[in-house]
Amino acid sequence: MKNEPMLIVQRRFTGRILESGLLILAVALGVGAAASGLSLLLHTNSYSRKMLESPEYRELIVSTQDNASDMETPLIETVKGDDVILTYEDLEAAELVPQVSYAYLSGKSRMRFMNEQFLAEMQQMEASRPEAGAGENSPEGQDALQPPDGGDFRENMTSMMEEAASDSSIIIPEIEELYGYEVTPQFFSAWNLEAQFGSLFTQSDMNGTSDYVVLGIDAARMINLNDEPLENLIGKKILSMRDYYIIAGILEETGTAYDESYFSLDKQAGFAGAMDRFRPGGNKQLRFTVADPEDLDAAAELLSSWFASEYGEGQTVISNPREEAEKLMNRNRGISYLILFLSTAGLFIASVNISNILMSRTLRMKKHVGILKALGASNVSILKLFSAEAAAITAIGAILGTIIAFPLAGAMETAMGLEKGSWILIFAGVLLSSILTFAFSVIPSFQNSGFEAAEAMRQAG
Amino acid sequence: MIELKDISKLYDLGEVKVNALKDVNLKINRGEYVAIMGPSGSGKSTLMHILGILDTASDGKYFLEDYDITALPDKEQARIRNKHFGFIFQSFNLFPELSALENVMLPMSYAGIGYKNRRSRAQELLEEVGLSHRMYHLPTMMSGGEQQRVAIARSLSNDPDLILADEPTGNLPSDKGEEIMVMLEKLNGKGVTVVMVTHNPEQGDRARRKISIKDGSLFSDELIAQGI
Repeated sequence: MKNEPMLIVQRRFTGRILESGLLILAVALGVGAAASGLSLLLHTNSYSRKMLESPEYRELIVSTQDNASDMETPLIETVKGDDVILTYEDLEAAELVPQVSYAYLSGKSRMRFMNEQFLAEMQQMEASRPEAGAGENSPEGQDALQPPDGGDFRENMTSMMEEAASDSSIIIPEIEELYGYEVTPQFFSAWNLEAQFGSLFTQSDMNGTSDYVVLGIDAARMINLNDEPLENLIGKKILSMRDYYIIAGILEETGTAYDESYFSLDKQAGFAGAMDRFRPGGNKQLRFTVADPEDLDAAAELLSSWFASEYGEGQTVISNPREEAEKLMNRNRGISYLILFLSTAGLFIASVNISNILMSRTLRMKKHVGILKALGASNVSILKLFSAEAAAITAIGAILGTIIAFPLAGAMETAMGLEKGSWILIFAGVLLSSILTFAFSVIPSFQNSGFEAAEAMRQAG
Repeated sequence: MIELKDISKLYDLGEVKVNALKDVNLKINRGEYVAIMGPSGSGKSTLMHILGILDTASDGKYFLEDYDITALPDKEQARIRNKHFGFIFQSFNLFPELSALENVMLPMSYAGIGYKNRRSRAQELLEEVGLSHRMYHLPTMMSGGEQQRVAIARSLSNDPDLILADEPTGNLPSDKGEEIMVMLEKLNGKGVTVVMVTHNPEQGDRARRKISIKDGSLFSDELIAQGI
């Protein structure tokens, strides 16, 4: 520091290190709390907007009571009947509801691959299986892996493996399994999913006999053992426990869980529900997507009429995930506003106290002001001098406040079930709250820079 | 050099109004050594503050080198105080946070002089007042006489045309006071105009011109033949 007036301020600052430290701490706590509160509010709003843009929240789900009870979504109607079986053909309801853009089925699924690892596991299980009563009381998970006819099944698998290994058009993935969805063709349109390579399912695929699969981009990479260009995977078969699947297409990157998923046709849908009745969980949840979320209520009303006329009054349930999401978001937004209010109130109180303490500090320097003016300081240079002290306190407090704000905002986001927010929001919060603190802390500088030199020296004694 | 025309200073203390100066007319020429004398409360310090543009007159005109500077903006007044005036106060008014050297350097920083030049000039001045061995000492570690010598060095840092000294020996023992008086006389001998406020008649008699003030008005203004 080579400026003597500034040296005075600097030495007074360090000479009262406890007082200065407490001021900085007050700024840090105020800025940290307000910045995290502001960041949380901004994050909650942007997260809510982004979340509601998802096609998931432009959907109505029609199901029977049994299926509806598994859903964490509000029910527009409740039903008592359990004789109704909803099928793929019920998607026809969409044709009578003009607001509906797409209608589809989508159910979670899993594809278990057949590979060396699987065979080894099967062999190991066979070896450890007791001779008598085998499989009678086995746990469900183990049953799922235990073929009923033991060694014969394994031999069939082994021969399939050998056959597949000799065919370059068949892929034997090294991974154990992939998670995905059984869907009907309009699923992709409803979710704005496009194929990067190959094609997506068409309506005619529903009636065909081949098993097609569409892969998310990361799922494709996972099974691409030879690191060949991904487009080369199109048309190849994947050997799964169930059958061969033909790769019809690979999706463009979405940045969502769909990238790691596969999508197969909901073939049972094609059997018009006849099979579904006997298949566990075969009863369908029908999904209807509207283009404009504002139309959800009108579409729900029309769908409700359609299903009432088809199955009788009160036999089906229509749920609207957007309603629940909006309730949750409004609750989160309310909490965020409350947190922002409290933290800003804390910052305001801290800033007023800082202003008072700085006022007292600058008043103690009143004689200094008079002498500095006698020696050539103008009002502006005095203002700059005191403002530099306020700026230093604010800046150091803001840096510490930033360090406080990151974990605080993270903890609040976690508590509210939000994804991790952007650091830019925290910095924006720190900047805004620092400006407020600085504005308060320069008030004493303005008030004390305008004294006449003689008055300052006289009153200070 | 300086001319005050009908200068008045009114302090408004609510119900009470105090006329500290009443229609003062005064002309100070370059190179003069002027003592302003008067009892406590007579207005001599107020006059000194007006002369040093440390305070604003309620009425009247202030001319510096024939320029009317009565209503100059704050920044210009600050520049005049810095470049043309040097102040010596009864209580020294050094900054306790700064060393003697830094105290002397301070006015030069407002004049925009670079660090190295400030430092060498301040060293020269402290040597001139016999304090080369005390440059890095804080004022609290120095005697009153030494502090006043630092203040004199500080007042000279920007080569002022006018030194305004307000009771410069008021807080000093007589032997130290004598040293300060000798310094002021030497400065005046070098052509620097000196205006000193004092209530000490002996010191007043050592000036070349003695102005007496009473109840805010100039009482007498006499030239003294036996100045240095």
